[in-house]
Amino acid sequence: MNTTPHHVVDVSHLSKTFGDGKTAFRALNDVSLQIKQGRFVSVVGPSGCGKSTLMQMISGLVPTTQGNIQIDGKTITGPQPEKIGVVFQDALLLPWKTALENIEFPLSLGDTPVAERQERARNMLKLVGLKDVGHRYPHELSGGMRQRVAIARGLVRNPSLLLMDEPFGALDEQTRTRMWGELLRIHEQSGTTILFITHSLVESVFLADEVLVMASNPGRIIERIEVDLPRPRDLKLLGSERLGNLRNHIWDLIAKPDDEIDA
Amino acid sequence: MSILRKLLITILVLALWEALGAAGILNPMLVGTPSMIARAAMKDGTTFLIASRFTLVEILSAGAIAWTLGISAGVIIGARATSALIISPLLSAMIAVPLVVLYPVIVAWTGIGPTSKIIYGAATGFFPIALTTISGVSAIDRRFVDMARAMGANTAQVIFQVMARLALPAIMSGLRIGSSLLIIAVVQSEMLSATDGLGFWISYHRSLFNVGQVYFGICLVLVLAAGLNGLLNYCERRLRLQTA
Amino acid sequence: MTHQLSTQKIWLARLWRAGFVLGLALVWETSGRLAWIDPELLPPLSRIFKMLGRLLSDHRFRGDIVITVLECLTAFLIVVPLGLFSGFSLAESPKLYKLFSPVLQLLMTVPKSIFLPVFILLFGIDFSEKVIFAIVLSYFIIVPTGIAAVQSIPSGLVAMARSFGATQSQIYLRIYLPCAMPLILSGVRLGLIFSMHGIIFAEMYASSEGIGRNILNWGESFDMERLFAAVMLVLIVTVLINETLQAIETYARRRTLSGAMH
Repeated sequence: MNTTPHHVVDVSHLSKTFGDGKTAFRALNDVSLQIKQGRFVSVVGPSGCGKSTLMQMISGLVPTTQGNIQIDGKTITGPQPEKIGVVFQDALLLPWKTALENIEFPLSLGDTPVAERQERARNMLKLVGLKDVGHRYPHELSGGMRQRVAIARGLVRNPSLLLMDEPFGALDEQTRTRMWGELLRIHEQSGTTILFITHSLVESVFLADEVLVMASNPGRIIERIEVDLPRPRDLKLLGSERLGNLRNHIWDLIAKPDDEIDA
Repeated sequence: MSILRKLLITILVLALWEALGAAGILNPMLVGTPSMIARAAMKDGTTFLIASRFTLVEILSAGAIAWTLGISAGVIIGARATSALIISPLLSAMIAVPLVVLYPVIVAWTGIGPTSKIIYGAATGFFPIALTTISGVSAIDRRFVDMARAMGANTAQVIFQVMARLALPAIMSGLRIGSSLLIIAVVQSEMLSATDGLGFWISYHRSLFNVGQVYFGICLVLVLAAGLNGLLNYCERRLRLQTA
Repeated sequence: MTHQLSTQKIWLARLWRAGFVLGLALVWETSGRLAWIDPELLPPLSRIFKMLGRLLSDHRFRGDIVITVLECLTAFLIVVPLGLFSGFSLAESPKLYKLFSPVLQLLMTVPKSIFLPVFILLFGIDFSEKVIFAIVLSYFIIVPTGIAAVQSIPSGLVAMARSFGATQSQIYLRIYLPCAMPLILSGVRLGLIFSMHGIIFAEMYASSEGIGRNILNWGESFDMERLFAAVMLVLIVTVLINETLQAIETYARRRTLSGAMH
């Protein structure tokens, strides 16, 4: 047991097998990772490499087969809403609630007083730059706005870790680029530790302090890359040579094991 | 304009109907004419009004039971894929059964009073409501469930605050179908055996060949059913608007 | 993660379902045997089935069954072609649709069963009255199915056939019929089920013969064993018919779907 208190996330020798007997499928094999307070770590890999399974296990939605996940030094056995905020791919806002009510949702499940709930939700709305649209319903918001509301909802309980599962995967390229800038700003302002799962190489490099590259069959981490790009980061950095080199390096790693193009 | 035309057509039809009766083309022992219905209304209007209230109370009680049981059973069964898979074919099989054969059983158990109508009506409404709710709840996007659980919702909160709300459109259409079946079922059961209620009086006057009263009673049932259905549609539209 | 239903899972669910029904039957049986519930009110299942066996060998009850079956079949054989043809015509002719759909929609929402006393006033209490009532009751359920059947035909396929020079009758026979088959079959099923509903209610309301009449009589004379035996008969027969027809429907639907994909 090496519980160093400044590790917000400590995953050790995590494995996951679905099914049993002949049909057993090893989704994750011996995955370990640590994340220090305030860091932004991204996980990148081809589809089917188990990155979503990893995310579901850290969020406590799927039980582990082997290994151990600790958040703030405590082993988790189920969802940890007060420690982990989650942002999903398609925002998943409740359609019958306004933006503000959606942000309040995690608080409304507990016994937070209504006034405090609204106060905190409003602060979050301000943080994500949407303080004027709190009364709107999800279908009245653009895709980027919906995702920002989802980020605000993830942060409203002031979690130790914000878990983001391909949050910008469904957005068009321009909106996505704008969201990168927004997320960097939010990260800087809130200082929350972020674990960001993506299949976009550029995204993984541009946003993170550290990139974990995964491979499939079985899902595992094949390399850790420190991103030494300076912060605060500017969108202009996207065209820089250093970012390009890092991206190419990851591409080589992912493309090497099987250079066939799968359907 | 169109309302005026509709009114005009209605008056014309009624006049033609009355004229055919007066000319002796329609047999007054078989077909009631507007004037016969009006006379029946004058004579037995109070009885029928009291009976309407009696029937309405039965319908509302049966509805309260069918809605509560149907929605809660549907939501709880539909929340888990396995229980939906196991139970819903049983419920859909029950929908094919003419439940009216159970009515004599219910009467034998609970007597001829309103209780038997309420139970029979509730049973008729229960199956479609529960079945539609199950299919609505099991068709929702399961990622919302993951989302709610990750946000800290417990099982009850996931089922009632997220799944049931997402399935609301399906639940509403189940309620509409179930309720209109239930209204008919209550009147049907009164027609078979009862001591009061619209169905009872329709049957009573049929056996005495009081043709006007039979038609008047049927008209009242139609008005009652249309009114309740209209109310339901109105509520559904309001709810749709609210959740958009 | 995967929400696809494996055949194994479906069979497991069937097993559970059978277990559930069996368990229910067992509770029913023991509740009567151990007199948790007065067996006069809820006779044990074994006694009900024994009584059903006796009823089935009784020539008088068999006569009633024959009458009910004849009524149902007559209504069914008239109303299904009539309803499907009406639906087909309405869906094929916009003019007819415009003319008749308001009337049809009104009549569809009107509860038919409360008009049964009028049918009796008009036609008396006999075979034809019940058949006509059942036809009227089912007709308005089949017509929308017929309309939906025509609307379920992919217009692309019709255009394709026409472009290859198919005649109208070839289009009806080779495109319409196979494409609309699942919904035609569901019209057939609904026709049979609702004919039975109509006939049995009409028999219970006023009749001198038929299963429905017996059910009402035995209920009124508290002959619970005979009552439950007859109820059980109706329940088993309707469920069997419905499930069989539904299985055929599902099979047809799978065939049309797989045909459309290749």
